[in-house]
Amino acid sequence: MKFKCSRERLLGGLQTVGSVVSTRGMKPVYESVLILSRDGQLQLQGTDLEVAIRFNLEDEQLVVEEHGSLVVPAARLAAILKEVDDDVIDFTWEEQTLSVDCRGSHFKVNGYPPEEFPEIPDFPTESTIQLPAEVFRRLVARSAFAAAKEKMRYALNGVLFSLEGDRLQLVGTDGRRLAHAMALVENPDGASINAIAPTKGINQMARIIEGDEVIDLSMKDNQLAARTGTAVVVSRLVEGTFPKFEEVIPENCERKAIFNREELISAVRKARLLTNKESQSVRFVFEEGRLSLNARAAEVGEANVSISMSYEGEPTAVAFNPGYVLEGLSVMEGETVSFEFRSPTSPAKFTDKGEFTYVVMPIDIQ
Amino acid sequence: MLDVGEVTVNRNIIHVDIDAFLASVEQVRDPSLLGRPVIVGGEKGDRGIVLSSTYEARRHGVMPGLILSEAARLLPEAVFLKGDYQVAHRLSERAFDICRRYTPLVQVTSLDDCYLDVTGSTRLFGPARKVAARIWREVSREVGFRVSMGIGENRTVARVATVFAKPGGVMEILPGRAAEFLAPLPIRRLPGVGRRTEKALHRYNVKTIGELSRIPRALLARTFGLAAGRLLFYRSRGVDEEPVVPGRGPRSVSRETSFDPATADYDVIEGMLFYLLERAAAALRAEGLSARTLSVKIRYADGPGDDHPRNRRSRTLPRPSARERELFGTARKMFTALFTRRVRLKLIGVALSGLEREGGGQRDLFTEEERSRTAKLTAGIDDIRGRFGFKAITAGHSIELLGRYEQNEHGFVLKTPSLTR
Repeated sequence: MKFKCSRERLLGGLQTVGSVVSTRGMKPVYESVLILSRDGQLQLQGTDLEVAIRFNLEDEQLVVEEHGSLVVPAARLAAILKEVDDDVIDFTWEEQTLSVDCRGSHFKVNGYPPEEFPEIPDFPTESTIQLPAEVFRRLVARSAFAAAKEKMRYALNGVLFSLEGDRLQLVGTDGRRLAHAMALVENPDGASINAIAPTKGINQMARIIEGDEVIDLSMKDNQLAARTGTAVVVSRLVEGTFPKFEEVIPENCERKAIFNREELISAVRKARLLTNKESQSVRFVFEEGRLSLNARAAEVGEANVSISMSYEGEPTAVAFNPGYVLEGLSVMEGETVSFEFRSPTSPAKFTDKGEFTYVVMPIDIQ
Repeated sequence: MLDVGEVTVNRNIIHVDIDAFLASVEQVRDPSLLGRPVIVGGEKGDRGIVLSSTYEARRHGVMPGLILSEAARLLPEAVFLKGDYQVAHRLSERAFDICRRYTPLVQVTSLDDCYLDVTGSTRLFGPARKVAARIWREVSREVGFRVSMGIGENRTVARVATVFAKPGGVMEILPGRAAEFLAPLPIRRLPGVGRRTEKALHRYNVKTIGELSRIPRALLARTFGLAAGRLLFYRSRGVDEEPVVPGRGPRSVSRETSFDPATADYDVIEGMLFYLLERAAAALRAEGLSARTLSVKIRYADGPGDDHPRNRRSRTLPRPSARERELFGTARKMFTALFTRRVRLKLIGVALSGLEREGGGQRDLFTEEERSRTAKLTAGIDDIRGRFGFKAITAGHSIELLGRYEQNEHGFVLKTPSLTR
């Protein structure tokens, strides 16, 4: 294989693909990028065996003298392209070695046989939906953060991806809080998706589609795939059953409050200053017209913060992990947020006007 | 190794024990209760047992372990309270912090007692009895507890002396007088002698520590095992070289037993696994602790031992627990992963570590209902066992042991009597 192409474009492509490629693969070939020529374009492929990407490089300066494919360590090639300053670079692949010829510097990078590179599935053609990339990116931003980080509860390690009719819902939960984001999409084929996508995969999809206008989504053969004008990202799905999240979202509670979002964020941040690792708990005391936050930690001190708000229901004290509350508030939109709960031991719900619901489980008050 | 002839340094050990601990905690919180009979364990009408009672209540026969309804009958005017482990833990730490003013070597062994090695502090603070007097005054003035203290040349003697110092006194056993002090006491006073060991010794008509000290070491080792036999041999002579190791509270609780003969019967092994968890978890609940880490170990009939990494497994739990029904699923998975050879098992054991105060925890969205059911079930079983003995209920996988193991009021009679609590 022999070609010349724009340094900047190839580096950009490598960086996109490199975000998927594992840094500590089980075999060196999994830390590599596959570059192949196809229809007068270069395609880059990378995978960590969980998420895979095909990326088509748009490059007017590309000249392919000899078609073929090559596999080299992704990080090493990117590092070389970062150091040199040529606009256009010549590449030659011979006997598993990639020669990179620049002005004054020549590199020979040892590669691997392309046959050993794992096959990356193409985008399935049936049951797909199309939606604005921005809608998808926003859904991910408002759900994936709440998914479990530890590997303890397997199904919670991913984000539930559910499409039914025109409702596309993404749900993330670690068992202590739950983020539910919803958007209406066009679904002319009546495609239906109900799958758990790994958090890493879905975050990568969201990152890679940034800057695109519309994307296609599809689920097939235990894989979730997203396609933009230049890239296809395929993620393996998480096996397991997602908990029945609808059942823990409280409705029509007796205790209801409406806050100014910025004010609440600021108050919780202040109260959080006087918590420590052992006692990550802030007590929320709801009274008519007023919310008092109280944090106290042994050998640290205590904080009392109060803000005004509107509240309906009996005066009640309930404790939450301030970090969970802040994470939810930070992805909400609009000036006000509504809050409701049944009792100091049952789940509490935050909602904004943007089709977003956030449920937090309280901490037992000591 | 320990040898009678080679004790060179005379150590000064103080054992500090807070009197009527949980009940005193309530009196410290609410000074209007001072001088009144206070009973901790539950409200008057509650089922359950007395966990702690003040000496004012003890005078009327309300001792820890009594059923609450009986306590209410004996002393209807007493103040009945549930008790609060969080506050208790805080106050106990404050008392032990006072001990740390006199030596860094403070080993906290439970919420209400600790050992101090003041051997190196005597130049600075004077003899152990002076240190004890100062601690007594400062704990009383600054925290409000009354403590009892035993002083001796080792932990065993100091601990036994404390029993005689109660309530609120200090008892010192002079160096070289340990054996003489212990000899006339009944064997159950000796730390390490549990009900089972006591019963076994009674069968041989050994009633006092002095009589125990005259039994040859080899005979004790044959009867109780090498380690336990050695411990009995030395302790009964007033010899105990165990150092005071600074630390807070128990670091882990473990239970194990050997199978004799070795077995490959999965039901029996699982039953035993559950039973051991039941015992270990109950010990945690009694201390108001939860475990973050669960370990399981096995030993095959043909060795290698259970200290071999292949025969041992630990896992951090998603949420701390002190309930066998929550722990068993994980324990069983770990056991299944361990028990891979087609060889019979000689031993199985469990350990709960990463201990922390129970409660005050983050609630869970999906498992809370199940947890509260398990909590109620466990509390119910604890309650019944508290009143009618362990044998009153055999539940869960432990039923596999029925008919295979003998039972007494404390549970199944296992093959490995354990000397340590």
